[in-house]
Amino acid sequence: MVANRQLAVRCADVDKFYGKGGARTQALHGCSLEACMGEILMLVGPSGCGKTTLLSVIVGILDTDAGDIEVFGEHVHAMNAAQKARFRRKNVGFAFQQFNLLPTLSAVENAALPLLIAGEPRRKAMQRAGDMLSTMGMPEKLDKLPRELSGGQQQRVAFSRALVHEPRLVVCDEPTSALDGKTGEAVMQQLRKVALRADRAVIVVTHDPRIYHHADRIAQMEDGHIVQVTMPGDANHPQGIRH
Amino acid sequence: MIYVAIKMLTGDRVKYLGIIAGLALSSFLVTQQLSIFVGLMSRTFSVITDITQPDIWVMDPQVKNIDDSRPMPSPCLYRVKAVKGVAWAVPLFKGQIKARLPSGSGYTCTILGLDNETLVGGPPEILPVDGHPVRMDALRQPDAIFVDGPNAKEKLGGLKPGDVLELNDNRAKVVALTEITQGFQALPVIHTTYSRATEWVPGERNQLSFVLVKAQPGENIQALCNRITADTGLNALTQWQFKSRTLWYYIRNTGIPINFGATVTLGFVIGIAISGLLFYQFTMDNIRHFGMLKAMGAGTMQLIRMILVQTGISGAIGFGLGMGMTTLFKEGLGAITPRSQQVMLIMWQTIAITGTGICVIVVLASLFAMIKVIRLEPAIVFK
Repeated sequence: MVANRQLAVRCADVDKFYGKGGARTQALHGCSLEACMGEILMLVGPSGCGKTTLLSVIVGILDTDAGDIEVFGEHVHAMNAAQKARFRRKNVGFAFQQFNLLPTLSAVENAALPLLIAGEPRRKAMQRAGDMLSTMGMPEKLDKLPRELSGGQQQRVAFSRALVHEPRLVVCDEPTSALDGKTGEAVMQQLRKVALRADRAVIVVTHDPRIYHHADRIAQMEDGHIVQVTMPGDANHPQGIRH
Repeated sequence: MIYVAIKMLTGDRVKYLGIIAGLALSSFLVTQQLSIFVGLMSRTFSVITDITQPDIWVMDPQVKNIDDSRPMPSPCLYRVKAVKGVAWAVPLFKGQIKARLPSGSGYTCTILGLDNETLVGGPPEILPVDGHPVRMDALRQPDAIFVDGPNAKEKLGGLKPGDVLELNDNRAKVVALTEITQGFQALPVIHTTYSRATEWVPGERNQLSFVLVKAQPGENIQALCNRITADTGLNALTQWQFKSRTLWYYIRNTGIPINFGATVTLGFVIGIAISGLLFYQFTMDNIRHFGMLKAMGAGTMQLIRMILVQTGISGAIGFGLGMGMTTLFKEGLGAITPRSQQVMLIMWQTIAITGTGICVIVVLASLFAMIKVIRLEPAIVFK
């Protein structure tokens, strides 16, 4: 499958350490992974195995200590901080575990953040964010503050924010861990429907087995490296729990 | 992102109001105290302020301020008149005299004796009597005096034109009330002629307090001062120089600047303590959001601009409210005691100093927040 598709992300033998001296610990240990355009790749594994660290180094918000990372053919870690910021602004959409919506901004304003960061005029940014929220099934909630929304609605706003600027790579960190099963299933269906395109890759870090069936491939991590990558139909593909 | 910065700031009402209140209080304290200080200090040279006709004040070289008159021999007047470049020179007597009121009570007053012929050195405003304007010539009537209106009302038992009082056992008749700049000692001010004043005040051998000089047209004032000093051995100062000498005497020799300085410093510290710490706390509360913006690709300069907008807006609103509070305070004071209101002198320089102080507070508050945001690891959003 990987051989037939265009690569979005390629990590090769990546090492990452935290701390210094006696407190130094290795979070990634010769970690190699490929993510392709047009797929949802899930990174799964026990807590502390390095999933979030790998996600962070892929998008350049953490530096690596060894190895090579290419995202859309560009060596992110060869860039300086300003270039990395520009690269993320243009190419990466984020959805976080706790949604991380700004509590004082309305749904549409939160969703418009990537466009505002990119310098798009406010009116136009709000228009596009409103359209994205409508696509995500929330046309009537544009002016609501996050505290006025349910968990599922907040995650849809977060997905809208991740997708509004049409990034080529969408990274989601535990997107359903704060949601009940039904809501989690609904937002994942929405994510698949709206986010997945032939020219876009989606990487989801999760240890929520309820959403495994949404993955095109699942990469299992243990102790800082990928132990296996499977596809539906493979004998050892994690089955997950369906609701 | 300016819009986002403003919404972040104003969204947390309690902290936002706390920051604004701290800055407003600081701004109010600094402006109010400085204005009272300036007002009080400007009263030290009120007599010089009110006598606008002369260009130069001539005095004994030992005189340190307007209240420290050291009488000169009468011939000094003629020596000054003889200096080249002098258009005219007139005597001025300044002393203190005890007034005995019709009620029998007494009060110490400042008495100014004006040149008998020209009456130069009179009050800036003479209040009309029964709707009729009063001229300076009224002082030529027998035993005539002018008394400053507010003090006549408050301290001299409501004296009015036509009333008679005793000044050091001499009969004096009030012919008009005046409006003058209040003095530092807040004593009632009486104007009369030079000869009458020197007759009434228990005398020393010399009684010429000051010589008031007008320069000939086109004459360089400072050069004339130097010439008078060189020719007569007396001290000749321009009006501004004499004001400055008086002011600095009070600044150096009283604890007033220290007391006011302490309060102004306190106001500044309150601004730093309340607003600076609250703003830092506000930034810390939003640090995760700043991290998220950074992860999403917001540049460091974008985030710094956001912080500067937040502190700048807080500073501007706090400063504006502080100025409003100062004005209200002054008006409120005026409603209670109209003369106390005059103690506050809000000058543009005072407002500029307060504005600068608020800017310093805002910059310091911004710096702490900026350092935190610049050093922020965007990976914080995944924790």
